[in-house]
Amino acid sequence: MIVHHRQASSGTALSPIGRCLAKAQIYQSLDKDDSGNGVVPVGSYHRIDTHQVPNSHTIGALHQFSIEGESGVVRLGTVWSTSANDYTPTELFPGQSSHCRGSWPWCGVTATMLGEEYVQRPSGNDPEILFEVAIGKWNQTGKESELFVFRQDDPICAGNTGNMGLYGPISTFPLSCATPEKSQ
Amino acid sequence: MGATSGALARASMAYFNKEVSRDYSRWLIVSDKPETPPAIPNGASAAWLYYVDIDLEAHPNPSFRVLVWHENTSGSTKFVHLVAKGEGQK
Repeated sequence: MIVHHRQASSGTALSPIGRCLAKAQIYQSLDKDDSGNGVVPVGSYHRIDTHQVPNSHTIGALHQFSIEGESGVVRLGTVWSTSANDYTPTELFPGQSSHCRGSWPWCGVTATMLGEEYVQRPSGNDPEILFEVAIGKWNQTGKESELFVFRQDDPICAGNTGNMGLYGPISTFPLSCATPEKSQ
Repeated sequence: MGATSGALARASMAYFNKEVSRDYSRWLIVSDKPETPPAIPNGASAAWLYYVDIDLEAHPNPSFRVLVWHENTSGSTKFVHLVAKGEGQK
């Protein structure tokens, strides 16, 4: 049995699609989609969702769902087809992309800044940026990223953390910013 | 983003301490773009882009987050489906 939530966006510009997905993730505002619920039959297929992708368009979507089951094997994946109603693949596309794709156990990262330093501080009308922070760095060769949370100016990337996949983990880290006091 | 070298020097001792957690009852699946998808092999009309087999006995009642991200540069409309298939006992 599958219980499904989703958020999807498509278009020709990539940034709005990504922002849409990020907002849905951060604010937990994915739509409940009962049409994706159902029973996965043994030896057959269950379609959770379908995205139409016009030529020269990009589709970005987040799906969250759970499967109730304690035995057997379920195969989960994405299918690319020429028909809206054809989702029963008999083939596997050959590897063709250098970009990451894969599956990982869920991963969460909680980062705590050592020390009491600020990433910004007041400086006139514009805050002064004291240092930059990068959450992660992906590896476009398709390998797992070896850098997860590190300081961009850190020459040895102190704190490298073995990463089970940069896409999708929930990363939490605090940033300290000061608010200037108003003068009379 | 920009930063001055002086500012970087003042903050040079600030590092992150990281805690990484794993939860094998929850899975992430990423289906990223095939930049130039070839014709579907062997004259078929549908093909797996990516799949993973989850053993429910080893990982009962799992939860999933799936990121779908595809560009279509094939010249015609295509469809991306998120699909589950029951494989029975293995």
